[in-house]
Amino acid sequence: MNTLSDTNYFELFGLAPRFTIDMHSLEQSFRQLQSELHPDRHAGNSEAEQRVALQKSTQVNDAYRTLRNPVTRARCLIDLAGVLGLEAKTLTPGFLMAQMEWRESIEDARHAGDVVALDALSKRLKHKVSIQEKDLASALDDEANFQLAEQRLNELFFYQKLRSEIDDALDQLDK
Amino acid sequence: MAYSEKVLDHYENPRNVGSMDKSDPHVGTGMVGAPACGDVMKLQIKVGDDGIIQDAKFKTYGCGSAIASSSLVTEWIKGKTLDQVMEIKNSDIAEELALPPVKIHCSVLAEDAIRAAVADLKAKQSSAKVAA
Repeated sequence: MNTLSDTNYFELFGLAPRFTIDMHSLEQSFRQLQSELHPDRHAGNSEAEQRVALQKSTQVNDAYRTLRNPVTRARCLIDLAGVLGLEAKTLTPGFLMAQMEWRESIEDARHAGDVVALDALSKRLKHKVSIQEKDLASALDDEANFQLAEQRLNELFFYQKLRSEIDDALDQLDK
Repeated sequence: MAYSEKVLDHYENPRNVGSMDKSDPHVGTGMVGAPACGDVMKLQIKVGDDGIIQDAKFKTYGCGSAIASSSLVTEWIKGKTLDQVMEIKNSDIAEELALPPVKIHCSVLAEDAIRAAVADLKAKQSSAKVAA
């Protein structure tokens, strides 16, 4: 089965390959495409044509999922740029130290059963992530600096981990 | 995930957890992280004037294998020279702990942490020499 390349993920929905995309038009194109590819519309066609429509529908789902999520969208753009030799060695000691402090704060709050503290951390994290995504957008869309984008993306992974740690702690205290 | 007995032992009774003074000229601090799993690891070594590692401490936020890898490493590096600990390979750690292939990256992280701690200490020592 031939799969769509990353470029076509954007082309598929009529979008320019950029980090900053219009979520509303992504959503609309997605619905439009899926309704065109719906099996009911191809019921009268040959078996081969029906199979192609089904394959395409799967690809549209993959593409939509990839572009909707900022992390996989950024990954897709960096891969598209085809810059090799980008490795995760770019994390700075300062960033890692801050991660250590985040994890300590989350752990302390979890042990203390301090929901208020966890909510405050959650808020702070939300703010951090939004700044991080803006930085990632400017590295990709404005500067086309893929080395920097890779670093920002790697950092974003750590923030995702913090998000799940905070959510787990809150879930645990909820019970 | 079925952990080996050695991993469980280090996970349940981690050795040398803690922190040392980062600004101490005899202390080297290595900070490493793995974006794929969000694990962070801090390894600190304290080296005497004879160049032997007297003490080691770690703090790891991660899975059982990451904790076990760093705990094991603190035991291994005590009493060794900087050159000797630079020879420790992630495969040694993985073998000792019987890590499955999906957890090899935890042992890589521990090896990276040793290198980072040694590099930090050497950088401190050479800048101290310049100052003197």
